Amino acid sequence: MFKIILFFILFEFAFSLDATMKIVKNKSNLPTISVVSVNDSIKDRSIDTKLLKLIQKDLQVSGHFNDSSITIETEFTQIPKYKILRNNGIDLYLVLQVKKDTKNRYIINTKLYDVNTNNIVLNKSYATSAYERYPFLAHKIAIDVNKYLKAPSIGWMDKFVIFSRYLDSKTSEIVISDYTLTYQKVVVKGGLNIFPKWASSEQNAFYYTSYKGLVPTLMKQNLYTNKLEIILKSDGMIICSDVSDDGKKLVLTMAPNSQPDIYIYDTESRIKTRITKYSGIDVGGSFVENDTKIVFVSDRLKYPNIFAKKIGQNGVERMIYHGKNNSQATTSDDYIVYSSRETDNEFGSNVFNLYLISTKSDYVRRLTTNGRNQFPKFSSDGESLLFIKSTNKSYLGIIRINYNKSFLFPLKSGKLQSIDW
Amino acid sequence: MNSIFKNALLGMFTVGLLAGCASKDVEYDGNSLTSVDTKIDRVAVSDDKMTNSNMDSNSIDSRNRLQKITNESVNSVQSDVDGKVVLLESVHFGFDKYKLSDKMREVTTSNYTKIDETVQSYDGLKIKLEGNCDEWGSDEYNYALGLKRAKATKDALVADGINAKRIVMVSYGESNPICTQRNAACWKMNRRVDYRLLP
Repeated sequence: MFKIILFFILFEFAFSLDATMKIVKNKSNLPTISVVSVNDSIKDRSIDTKLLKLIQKDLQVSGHFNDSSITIETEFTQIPKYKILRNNGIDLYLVLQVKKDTKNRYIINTKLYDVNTNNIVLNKSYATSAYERYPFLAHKIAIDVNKYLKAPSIGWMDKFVIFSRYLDSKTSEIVISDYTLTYQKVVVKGGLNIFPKWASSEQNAFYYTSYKGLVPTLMKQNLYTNKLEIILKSDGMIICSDVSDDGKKLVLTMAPNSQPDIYIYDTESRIKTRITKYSGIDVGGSFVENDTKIVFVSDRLKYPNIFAKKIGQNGVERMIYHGKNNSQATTSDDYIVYSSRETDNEFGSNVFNLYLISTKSDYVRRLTTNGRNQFPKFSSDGESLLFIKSTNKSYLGIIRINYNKSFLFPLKSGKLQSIDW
Repeated sequence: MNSIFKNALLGMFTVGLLAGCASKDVEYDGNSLTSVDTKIDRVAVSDDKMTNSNMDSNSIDSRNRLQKITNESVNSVQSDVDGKVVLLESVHFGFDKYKLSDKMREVTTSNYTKIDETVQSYDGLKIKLEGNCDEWGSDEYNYALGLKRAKATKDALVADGINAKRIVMVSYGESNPICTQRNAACWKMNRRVDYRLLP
């Protein structure tokens, strides 16, 4: 038991180091897992193939496993041939069985074997009544397998991502999905509806900007009751850029005096407080340092850059000394990730890359290398980053910061406007 | 750093194996059933059913048509005010800019003349200024940039003599392109403010 605790402490220590430091992962140190599906009772084999691939993708995204390309068939009820698995370098063996029960639900039975100890270590069943929900089954299975390993949590995998996608001119819709965009459900449609933002970590409700009226309107919609509230209206624009951890305060960009500035809106007292008063553009604020400070984008230097301001104080602090167009930022504790264009030439390559900095040091770490990478959003645990990559198509990207890994998931139609998770 | 990480990962692996050895730690709950349905079943879908009386942008848009004069890269918006057609030229901006050039200031003055004539006949007339951007930059910044362009156009109209209370502004950021090709000429056309007259 002492060894377990010691190793666990070492692991946690490694992941608590400055995330701006470059980490080179040694794949040979990771356990190798083989995932197989054994099905004999369902006619539609597409679900188990898709499920299998998605679980493998989840385990790959976690950064905690090597995926074995070797498939060794077995019967679900039989003990696997440990020796053959060991000889093929497999440490963990996950077997899936997809069935339909009398209520026509899909039942996924799973068994996880620790090949090196000849033990079954997880035996669990998962269910859904609808085929299209299989991504969440896959994510739950991956989370449980990861939990067995006692690796850092990947619980974020089965949370909803909410995004807006442009469909046409002045037309967009708001969609909830899983992080791979495999599952999708439209929750707001008709007209221009943009910048969805979860109202709390429970993901029961979200804010968004509606253009249904003469002036942009900030709405709050309950995901489950469909209750719709008008929060605020503003001439020109209104966007909910961030929500405090307790869900009681919103950081807004709005322009009641025709001037885009950062405001904090108290959802209980319904009082809004103007935070910035610059005559140019101040936009895209987010809370930092226990909601005492706002990081935001401003064109104070005649180009967009990232600044910070203590709430209630006058001074503004420049945060980024790099790039020609830093027009987006996301924060997690003492870390800031921003999107930066290397040149201000309209006709240049104009790539946008993501950079990570710590407010406690001067080190800058580049997270992407090419293309247009924008709209970074930290996960709640600060270990992962969601972003939008644009080429001829839109992609939802995820960066596992401590693992130097990134993955892209294509949007089949439309163009991603904004994301939150 | 790397050696610590390697040790840690090795530790992670070993933890997994050691945990596997300890049978009392093994999770074995084959009888339980984890369902993903509960949270998804409850999700409702909104079709943007707001019924507020001033929420009439769709009907406004149906009365306004965008006209493109392609060989001059100039576009105008045609407004129909009780049967009278008013064509107002859009105002264009430089890359990442929201100040009016001298040439565009002439356009705002020309538009002012047409609007002022219409205002004489329709006292309740409102002018909607729609700020737009090209596809570069972050979306949120572009909505602010579009607003600043609309504000610059509003300031010009007010300076020329239009009552500020008649003017409403909306920024559409990059959501309302009139040209969708990916080239400089196209982006230039999208960096604009459109005028719409609302009787």
